[in-house]
Amino acid sequence: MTATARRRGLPRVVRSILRSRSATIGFGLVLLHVLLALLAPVLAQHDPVVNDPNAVLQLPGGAYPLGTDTLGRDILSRTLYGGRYALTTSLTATAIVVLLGTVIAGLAAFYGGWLDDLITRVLDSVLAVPAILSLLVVVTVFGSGTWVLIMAIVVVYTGGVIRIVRAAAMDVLPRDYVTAARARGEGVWYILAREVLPNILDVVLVEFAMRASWVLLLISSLSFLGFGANPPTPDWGLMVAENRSLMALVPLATVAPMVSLATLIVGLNLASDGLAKSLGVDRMKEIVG
Amino acid sequence: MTAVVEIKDLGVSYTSGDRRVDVLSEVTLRLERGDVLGLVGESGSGKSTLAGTLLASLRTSSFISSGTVTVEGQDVFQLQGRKLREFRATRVALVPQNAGAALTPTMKIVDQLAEAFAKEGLASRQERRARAEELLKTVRLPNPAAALDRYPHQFSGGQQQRIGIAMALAARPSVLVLDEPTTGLDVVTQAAILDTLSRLQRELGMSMVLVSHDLGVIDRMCTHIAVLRDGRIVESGPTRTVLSEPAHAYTRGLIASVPRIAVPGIPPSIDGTDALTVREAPTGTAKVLEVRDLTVDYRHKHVPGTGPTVHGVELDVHAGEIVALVGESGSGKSTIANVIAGLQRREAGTLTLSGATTLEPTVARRTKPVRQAVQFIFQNADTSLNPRRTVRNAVDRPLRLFDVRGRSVEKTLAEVDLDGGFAERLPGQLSGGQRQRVGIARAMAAEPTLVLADEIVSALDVSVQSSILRLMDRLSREKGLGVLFITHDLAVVRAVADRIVVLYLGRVVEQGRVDDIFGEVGHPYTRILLDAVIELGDDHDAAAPARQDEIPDAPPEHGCAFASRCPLVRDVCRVETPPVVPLSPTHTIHCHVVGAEQ
Repeated sequence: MTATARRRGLPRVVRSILRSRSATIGFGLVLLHVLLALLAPVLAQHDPVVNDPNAVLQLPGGAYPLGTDTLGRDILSRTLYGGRYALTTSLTATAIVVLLGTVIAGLAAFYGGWLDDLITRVLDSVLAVPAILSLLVVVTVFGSGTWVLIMAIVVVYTGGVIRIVRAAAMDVLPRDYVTAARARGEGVWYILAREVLPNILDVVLVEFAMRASWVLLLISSLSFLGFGANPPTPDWGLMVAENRSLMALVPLATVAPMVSLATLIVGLNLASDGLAKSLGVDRMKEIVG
Repeated sequence: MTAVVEIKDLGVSYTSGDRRVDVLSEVTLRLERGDVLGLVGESGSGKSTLAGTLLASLRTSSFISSGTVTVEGQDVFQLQGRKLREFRATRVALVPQNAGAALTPTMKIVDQLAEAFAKEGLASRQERRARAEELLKTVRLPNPAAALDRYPHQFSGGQQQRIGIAMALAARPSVLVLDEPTTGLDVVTQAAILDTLSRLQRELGMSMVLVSHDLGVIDRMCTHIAVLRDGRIVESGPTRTVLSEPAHAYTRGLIASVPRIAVPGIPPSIDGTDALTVREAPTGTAKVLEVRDLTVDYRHKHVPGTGPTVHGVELDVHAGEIVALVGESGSGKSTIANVIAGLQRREAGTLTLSGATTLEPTVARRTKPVRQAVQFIFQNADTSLNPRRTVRNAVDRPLRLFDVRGRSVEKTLAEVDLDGGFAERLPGQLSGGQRQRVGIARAMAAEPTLVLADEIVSALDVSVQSSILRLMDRLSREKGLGVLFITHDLAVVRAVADRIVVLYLGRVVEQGRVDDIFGEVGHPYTRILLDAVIELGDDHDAAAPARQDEIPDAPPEHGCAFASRCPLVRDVCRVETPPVVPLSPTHTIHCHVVGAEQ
């Protein structure tokens, strides 16, 4: 059981995900979106941002499978590229949030004392303000655009990650193997990276999957409200906002991005649930704690 | 006479993948009214599983593969739903190992007890209180009337265990199942609880099933004994017969491997391959550690009437010497070890390494050679190794960090009798004894001069215990290693230590060579500790009744810390710090009374 048990480590998680129907659907949906986003340049027949005055408000069919919008842009192409935009921005933002959150959480848990107090107090005050409000403040001060959006998300979501990862790290830090490392005189980075992180990686992974869906929803909401992506970026939220007054004329211009967004978010949620279950991370505790 | 409990050809199994694993097989036992049956065996022998079947309780994935368990004529595994709950509420009661954790933390003691006798239908609050108080009196909880309105965390471990027993007795069960009821407790408290239990058993005529790894406890309590190994009964019968004339080789090995105060030396291994080893104390070696006037204070502000946690501790460790630091839980043993390792700040005192280097208070301020020279071995082999890192990682790190030349992971593992194949394993793939060896290897990799061994054998089975003690003995001799061996187990101390330092509430009360401490004259506290030890083959009926008091929460501000429990106490003890009195060139005690008589 020695070497084989170790080699079976990852496949065991994969097997347990495949056993659950909802988790399989979740990962399937995410994978589908990733593939569509990667293949967007191949699948899209038209440029997603160039206007075509000769093809305004076309009905679905022929060269435009889903029709065109008021500026004559192909809806299918925009939706496909919208997936690229949604995935890259939300995954980048989530990666920054989780990375930063994990590092700060590790330091807070390791040093404790005033540093920990300071970090948790700041967190409490950030979490006390409604997310959308702090987002609007950031956007109002720095203007709109992708990077401002990512920065705003970092401000809003890092706190939650810190809380959860800090709790997980505090559970590992008093263990004897960490004490052994301290007694050897190991530095803080060694202890956090080599002794603590491997034991909380499951929590961090689930945190990533869960936050990704929230971040995506938030980016789309902001774009819809006009604070996110600037036109003519092919963003799903922006597409819905641009075309909602013409729903009766070109329904697919709003329905296509909505369906895309909904399936990706459902996929991410189911996937993170499945991941949490197969890694044995208690998500109820996560959300409450 | 009809049997209270009858177990016939019992088998318990669980399935792992496609494999069926037998936890218990062909177990047949009978228990008459008033019998006390001891279940003995090493961890994994199935003794707790067997005890659980009396309450028709199995782990979720386990099932009965054969046989029956009958309690008072009732086949317990036929019971379901309400009938099963009624059966558990009235016939068989369980006292778990850690009763403190089994009590609901947010519920007052009176309400917890009232739940247990709810079926009696005591209508009024007064009646329920009276009954609860009576129960607490039966288990000799101090001040039972006041205890009713307190919460579980306000009691010590021993008191929580008493409350757990009271709850089990509340429904007047015919069988009481006790799963390692005194394992987490210190010797004085253990003796008191066992005393109470055997008195209750006699008075109430109950039958009991006692699970324990401690043969001394079994010998003290049980009329009958069943020795389990790999889920099978290897031997059973009346306790005295089985223990004095064991028929099975395994039972003989098990009995021989128990360390005893009466027998100096490390007991033989369970299969008899290693004989009894008596250590010889090194002579004339240099000091590797000198602790002077050490004081540690956990109090954030001065609390009137209390003193610092650790005060005025002085001790030496020489090269090649094993010095035992002995005391009950809360005596400050681990605090002292942490101070020496630089993990805990000290308020006062000097620590000198190898006669020359002064140890800085924190790890961060110590130089690399100093950190290398002092190594730690931990109690709990489960948490002392990182579950996600291989044995190689664990042992290799100190080799690299301290730039140790001429030593490899394989060589280090060989020193602790593990072959190189273990290097690629994860801690989860090792047994408890193997993990502890890796923990020792990690410390040895740094080639230390001083090792702090904190309760390193107390979580291990006796057979593994003696092999680890043997290893520590060999390493200390071969490498001239100074070992500060922290433990609460006096039999282990007798087996392996050269000198002993006895701590009480963070103060040294006595120190000397092993023979001095286990000799005739000594500090009253040490005498109480020694008297409380329950050993195999003692005359338990002739023993004096156990003391029912417990260690106070905090040391007093003035005088002798032991004054509040001392049988020889005088007025001066409560006022003045006791003097250090040499009883012989190697033996000192801190006492106003015994010292003055000499």
